[in-house]
Amino acid sequence: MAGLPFEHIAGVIKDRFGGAVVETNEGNRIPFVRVQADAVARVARFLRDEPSLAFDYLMYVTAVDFPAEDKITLVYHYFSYKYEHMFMVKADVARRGGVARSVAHLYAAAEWLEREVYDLFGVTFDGHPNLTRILTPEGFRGHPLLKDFKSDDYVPFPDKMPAK
Amino acid sequence: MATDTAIHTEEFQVNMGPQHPSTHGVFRMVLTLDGERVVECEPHIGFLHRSMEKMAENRLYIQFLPMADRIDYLSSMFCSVAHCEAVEQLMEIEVPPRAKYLRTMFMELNRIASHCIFFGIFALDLGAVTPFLYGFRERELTMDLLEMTSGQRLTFNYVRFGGVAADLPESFFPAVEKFVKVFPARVTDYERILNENEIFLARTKGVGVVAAPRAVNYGWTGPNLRASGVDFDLRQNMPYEAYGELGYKPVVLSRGDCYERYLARLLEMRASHALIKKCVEGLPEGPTQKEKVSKFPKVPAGEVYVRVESPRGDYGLHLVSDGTDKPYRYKLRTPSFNNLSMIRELLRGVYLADIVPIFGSLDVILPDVDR
Repeated sequence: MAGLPFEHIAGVIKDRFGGAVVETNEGNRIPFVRVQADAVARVARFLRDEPSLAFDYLMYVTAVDFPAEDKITLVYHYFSYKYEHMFMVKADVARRGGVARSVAHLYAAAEWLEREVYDLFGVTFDGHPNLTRILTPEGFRGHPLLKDFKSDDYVPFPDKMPAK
Repeated sequence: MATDTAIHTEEFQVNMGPQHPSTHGVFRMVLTLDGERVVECEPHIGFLHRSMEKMAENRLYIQFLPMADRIDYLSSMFCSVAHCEAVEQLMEIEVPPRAKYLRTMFMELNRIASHCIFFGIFALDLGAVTPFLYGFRERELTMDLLEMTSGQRLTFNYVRFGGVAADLPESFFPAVEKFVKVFPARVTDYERILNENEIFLARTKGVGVVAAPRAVNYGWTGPNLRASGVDFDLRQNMPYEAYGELGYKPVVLSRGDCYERYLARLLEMRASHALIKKCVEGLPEGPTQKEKVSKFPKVPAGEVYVRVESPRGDYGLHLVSDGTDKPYRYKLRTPSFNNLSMIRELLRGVYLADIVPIFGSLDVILPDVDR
């Protein structure tokens, strides 16, 4: 079963959320819909609860850093076990102090996934129950997956290192 | 739980891990206990975080290939297949049929090796030492087969862009024949030693029950999800490599307790064995490597998401390329991470003695969680 085609799902999202949809990209190898960052949770709820879409499985949440365009793109990839279709939602946030609505109350999987994005990219999720670092140790400074974070000259705990 | 309010009880905290042997590596839980009951569990991960994704961004595609094997070292074949598939899809390389069959066969051998470890370690966690020796005995057979072809026993580095590193040596065929012949009886041994063992049943049956909707909501995949009754396996539903031609019927159970998660893996060993047999019989002739594929490819700009059914579930790789010889973004969607994220909810309210069976039955591997 192939599920609904991307154009159809994108059309439904556009009808429903109109102004919040920034871009519909069908030419990409993974077609996606770009929405405003504050609409991420509303779209997620709709994707999950609309019976004809039934996206019950949030595969992952991640981010891609674009320093040249001064933005971080959040990526939400959904899958439906019922119809076996996939759907990708993107949202742009600021590189420093970017904020998006959390989807952890809709998808329990997002609780850790959003913590990971927060830890590695520094994006904050509004309404997350426990937004703390998850992979890097306590007291870690910086967000390692940002492009301007250089691993070569990074000192993990500068105040604990012996003075040179 | 207290029936008599006159008895004064006090909660106390116990730190379990990161060096605890049944946390399978380095996983730490801070448990709040009320007598024998777990009131709250605070999981801590990241002790094995190597920043694989950052390393991938700083390396050539070929340089990261052996690194990919180390993401989940018990199922390294799957990690490198995902890495190569992503590059091949972006470069639009068609892999020769023989290479596809070889990849499939070695993935299934690797799956058996991984499940053998699960079988041994899970029983060991519950206090039975013999199954550990049994599991490692058969794992050795699969390791031999992998070693004689790839030269490695754990991190194979066998898959290449557009094919595989080497064809099968002559000595492989008698060895695999022997393996195919003896393995079903060995799985029967496994079943006879544990499936009806009173202690084993008492500790696993009805323990850590997870209903399908909850499992899906937490992003569970693989044998854990199928033990809860969701009929989904990438090998059947979204076939890749040679699975489409071979055909596969997933193992689906219904109760979703520790026992069924164990049983699902045991049954999967038999299913993998059948696939290996089919692979050997139907192995097409021809080249094992597509010609004129650069070893240092400049991958065309684009985005791709590859899903592979690893022994632990849905292993995904989201690769963003900007047209250079290094990945721009290398997102790993590892199954163990999602499978483990439910641990807090799973352990709330269980007895102290159930922690180890529940954690063990998830078959989580920490390098796969932490990356």
